[in-house]
Amino acid sequence: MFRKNFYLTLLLITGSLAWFNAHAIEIIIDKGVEKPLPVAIVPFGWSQAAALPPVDIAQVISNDLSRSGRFSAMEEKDLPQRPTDFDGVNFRDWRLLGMENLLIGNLTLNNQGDYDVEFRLIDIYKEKQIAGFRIPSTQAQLRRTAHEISDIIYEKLIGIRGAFATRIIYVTVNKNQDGTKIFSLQISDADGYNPQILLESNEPIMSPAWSPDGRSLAYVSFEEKNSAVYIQDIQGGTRQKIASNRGINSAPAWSPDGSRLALTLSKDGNPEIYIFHIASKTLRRVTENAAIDTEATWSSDGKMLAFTSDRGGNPQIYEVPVEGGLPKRISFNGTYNAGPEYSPDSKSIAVINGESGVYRIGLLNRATGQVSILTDTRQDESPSFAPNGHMIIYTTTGARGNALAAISVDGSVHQRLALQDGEVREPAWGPFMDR
Amino acid sequence: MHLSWWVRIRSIWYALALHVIAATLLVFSFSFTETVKSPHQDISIVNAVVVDKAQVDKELQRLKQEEEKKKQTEKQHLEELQKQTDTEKKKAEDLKKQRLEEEKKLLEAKKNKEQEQKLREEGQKKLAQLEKEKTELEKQKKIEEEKKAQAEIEKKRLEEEQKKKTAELKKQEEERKKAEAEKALQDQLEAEQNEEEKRLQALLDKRLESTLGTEINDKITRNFNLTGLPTGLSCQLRVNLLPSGEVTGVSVIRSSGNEIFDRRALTAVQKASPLPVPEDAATFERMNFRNATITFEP
Repeated sequence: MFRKNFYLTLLLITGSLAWFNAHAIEIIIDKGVEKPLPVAIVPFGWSQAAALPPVDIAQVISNDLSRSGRFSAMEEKDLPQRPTDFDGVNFRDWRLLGMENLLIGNLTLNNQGDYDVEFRLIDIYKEKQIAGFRIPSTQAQLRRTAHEISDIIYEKLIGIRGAFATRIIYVTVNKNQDGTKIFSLQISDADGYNPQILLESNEPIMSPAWSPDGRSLAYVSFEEKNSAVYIQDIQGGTRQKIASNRGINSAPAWSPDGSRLALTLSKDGNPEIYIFHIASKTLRRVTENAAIDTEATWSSDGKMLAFTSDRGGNPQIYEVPVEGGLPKRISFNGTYNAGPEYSPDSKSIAVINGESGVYRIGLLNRATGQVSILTDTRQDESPSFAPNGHMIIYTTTGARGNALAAISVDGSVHQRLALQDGEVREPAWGPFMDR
Repeated sequence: MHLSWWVRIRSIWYALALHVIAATLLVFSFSFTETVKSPHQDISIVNAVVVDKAQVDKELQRLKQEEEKKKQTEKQHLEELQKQTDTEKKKAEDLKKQRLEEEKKLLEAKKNKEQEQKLREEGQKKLAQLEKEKTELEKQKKIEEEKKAQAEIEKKRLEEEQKKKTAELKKQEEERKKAEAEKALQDQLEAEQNEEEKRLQALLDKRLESTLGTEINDKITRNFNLTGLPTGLSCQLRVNLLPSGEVTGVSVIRSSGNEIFDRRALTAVQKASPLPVPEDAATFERMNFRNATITFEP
């Protein structure tokens, strides 16, 4: 009897639920917007109130996030409150401002004379902590720690590892007082801070390229008047000349496994693509054509090379299997497409797209062959992907020559990295680095 | 009621039983009287024969010879006499015996009479006792009857009260039924009257739902930030609304599998609060705006 009643009740409940469902309001959201996520980075608490903190961690993070194009960090002066712990957060106030995410933290000097950086990422609407860590740091590491926090925020809110705690290499050109040029190969944090000179020369330095492990560089130096390709250990500074043939030795590109370099050599007549095996120091020719073939780049699976060739009359992008075969043209938009670089997922290729004397950064979709233009300046060159594929660093024409700039791959954010004096050329974004 | 009935039946039974006992006793005493006989008045004593011994001796002398003969005869005669005496004696004894028996009988009769008397007295005594008991019983009965009467009155009073109560309840029930019937009628009438209106209302509701749905969609879409997210994701949320449109709760009922996508959807709904809802609370409830399902499939 009870059971029967029970089932009857159950039936009634499910029946009413069905009725309820049938009558509940249903809304379908079939689109959204793409705009920077609002985020507030509250200045970190600091244990030595008498002195200024060595690094304004919150500011470093704010800059990182803003530069990515995915975030709009609230300006410090607009912050409604400056909590340093979870209990101090007044969620209502933040919600009234439409703030979605909040980062709070503390910087403390520990017993070893180093720092403990502690932070919490908070979802304002859920009123929940999304992430919270403590990272011990030396004073020299504090900026890097800030970038690592940016990486974590990026990963927690965007879903992909951030590329803030990475480095870039580039070449600067400055003039001496006597009017001669001085070329510097430099390495810096991804935000342009902490630049260090790896090589200086009165002769041009060109085409710096990262090894996949981030420990070495390859570049072209004219220090011996003729071009030569070098490999240099970043930490120790030791280097090795790997190609100094007659004619052109240029455009080194490391294979994803780090064992080989693609090079452009003209030792056999006109510039062609070769593959140099580092350990065995052997060369293999990949292209053979009367036109110029140069600027080879490896697909992430290491199976394809994309390069620039004017075999069709104008410079365009071609692909060829690493093992050899017939090159195939893949770019068709515009009269000029050059300087290819595969995105980390190899679904697209960043190119310099030229049209009527205007050169801009474009993204070539490998599936459709279409090029979408990302920049709107005139003399943009040398695109290089961040290792997470979300940003491209490149050079653009500034008041004093080429300057470093960054753009998000969706084209929404352009940022000048106007840190260096003088002209900046050929930036290359380094790989992810473990601490 | 049962008790008093039982008491009455019992007293009647006792009375009947006593009468029967009394009647039986009377009958018995009459029959005893009839069987007793009056004692014999005509009993006579028989005189015995006495013989003179001197004469006998003389005679004996003279008759000595003869005596022998006579002796013989005498003897014979004596014997006969003896015999006769014995017979007499026996007769006397028999008589005595008879008398004794009669005396005994008389005594017995007397005794019987006394017994009878005693029995009669006892009977009378018993009768008196019974009479007394009967009186007692009647007295008891009377008390009981009085009690019964009292109980009857009380019972009647209670019954009356009960009757009154029942009547009251019945009246109330009738009134309730009447009201219900009236209400049902009213409802039916209203339902009939409102059927057309309801159809119209449903149409209006549908239109309103469509309008509000679009407004809600717009408001949430503006807050649904897809930046950096992969395509092809979908999730479903349950949203609790107040008649003011304020979102009081939102939960994931079907996840996209991408935690960030789900969170963006949740934030979109909360940032869009208050959502456009019907202006009056009745429509809000009727259209079940309190619980909305929102599917995100950009």
